[in-house]
Amino acid sequence: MGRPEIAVLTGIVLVGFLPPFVSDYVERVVALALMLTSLALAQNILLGYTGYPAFGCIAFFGVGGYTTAVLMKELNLQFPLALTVGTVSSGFLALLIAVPLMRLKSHYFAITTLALQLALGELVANLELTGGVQGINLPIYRGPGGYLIFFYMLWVVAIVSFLLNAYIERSTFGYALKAIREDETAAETLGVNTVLFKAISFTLMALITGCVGGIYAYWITYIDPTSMFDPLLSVKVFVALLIGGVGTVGGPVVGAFLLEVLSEVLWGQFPKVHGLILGLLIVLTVLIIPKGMWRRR
Amino acid sequence: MDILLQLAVESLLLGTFYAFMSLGFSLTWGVLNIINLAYGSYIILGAYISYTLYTYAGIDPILSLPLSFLIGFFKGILVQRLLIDRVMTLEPFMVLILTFGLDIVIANALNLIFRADIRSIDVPYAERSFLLGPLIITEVKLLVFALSLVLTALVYILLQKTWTGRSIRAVALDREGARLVGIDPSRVFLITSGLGTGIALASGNLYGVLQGFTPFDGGMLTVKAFLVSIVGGLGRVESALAGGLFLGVLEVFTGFYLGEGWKFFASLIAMFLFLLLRPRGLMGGKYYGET
Repeated sequence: MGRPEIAVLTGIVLVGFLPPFVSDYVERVVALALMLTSLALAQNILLGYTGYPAFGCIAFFGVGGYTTAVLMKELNLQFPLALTVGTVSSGFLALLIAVPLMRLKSHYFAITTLALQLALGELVANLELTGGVQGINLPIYRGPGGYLIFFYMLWVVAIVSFLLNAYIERSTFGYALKAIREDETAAETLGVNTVLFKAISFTLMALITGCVGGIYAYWITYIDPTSMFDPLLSVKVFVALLIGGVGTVGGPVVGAFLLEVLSEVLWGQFPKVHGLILGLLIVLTVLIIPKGMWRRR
Repeated sequence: MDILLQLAVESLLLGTFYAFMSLGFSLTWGVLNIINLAYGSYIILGAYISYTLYTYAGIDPILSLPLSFLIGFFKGILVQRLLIDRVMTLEPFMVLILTFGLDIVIANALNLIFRADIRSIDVPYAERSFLLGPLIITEVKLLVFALSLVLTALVYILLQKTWTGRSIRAVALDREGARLVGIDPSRVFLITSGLGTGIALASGNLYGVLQGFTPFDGGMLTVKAFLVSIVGGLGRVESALAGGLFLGVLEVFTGFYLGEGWKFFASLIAMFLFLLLRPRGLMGGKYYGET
């Protein structure tokens, strides 16, 4: 890791010492920022290093969240076990569709994942097992640590995602992914098993995204199809990545924190036109800083 | 048997409207290689324009259709000039994010002006229907069908018979080749974008008389336009008709046999499978956007 990356990592670690000193509200905003950080870093493995934009990445957030919730509600599983199964199912789904899906490139790939996300959202809205449009109420967490436990879970996932990105940046595995990003045919000729590496990259993204979805579901205790398969969240992940810099280790973290804090401030200041401003923010980000603030090495 | 016939007729009426509605999406995708995620909200914008004109000035949505088209035409040119031109050279998914942002802006702006309540354009002929043998035909649906057919034919003639249409097709087939014979692609992009957006807003007038709408229905309509475009293949009127009929049949039959709640799911799964298995559409592709 270079000096700027170490600075960002130190930053995330230090954020873990915030809770005793700040209000519940600030703690919540920081937790949301950590969540967006993990989602952006997960997408960064796929888009940033492998060059495939999964515009519907929140499909896996929903799968992780819903699997966790259904297991806790219907089978009375303990949260750690439910979360593990939720995360694994999310990754398994990705692995299952990766090979046919990743023959598609660029915006065809992007839109197909988005179709999957919306389709899954409609599916859970129509099934009885998932509570239909009414969604699912989860039991409220009453264990040690109270709601701070969710803050620290998201914190740990963010740190793990960061280290994974840092590893990919420098490792042979990462070089293989970058080779696919730059020129897939060339990578293939050089002996990179592109099908396998693309599938791994996609699955890693889904594992992190699904895990975050599971934690989020238990944290907010009430989930419905609209909140768990929200296209707006997908776009936020991409905008966070764009602001920070696609294909860098530190950028997504900076982007996620900036975007989360910014939209939180805007939410408070202009509640009525919040959506409008978020839309404009997205348009302006694409127009003004399409390359991001963090330089790719 | 009667019910099957009734459903088939419903599919035909609805499908033809979907074909016209999606033409603009299919054209801009085929010619400019742009997937416009704000397309559905353009349609809704058209619906609100005709709603306003009808409610406050008493102008029939059918009469205000050309006006919606004109507003759309200039809006399309403006959006192309000011926004899309700037990101077209970047990664294609940047356009997705840009137009998604645009979609949020339009939906929220409409929500500020009109609130989130369901609006409908209650033309006097809205409820009328007549019997045709064993069939019940709703007059509004028949009217929308006939108009969609005529307008689709107009777009077909424009693309096939006029110089503008030929230059659009030329740019779609081969940007460099078109340049060689003296066609300026960036001019064609502007016209196509104008035409596409115009079609979207004009179809909004028809959508408004067919059913109620809210500011946030755009996303669903974008998915429909997408499915129609991908089933047949991009940028061609014949393909849009095939895709429109496919969507019409899918929606009417799923709605009837599985329930209204499954309609959108069926469209999405069809879209997912088509993209996965037949990304170039059933008729194969030769347009720029498909390469």
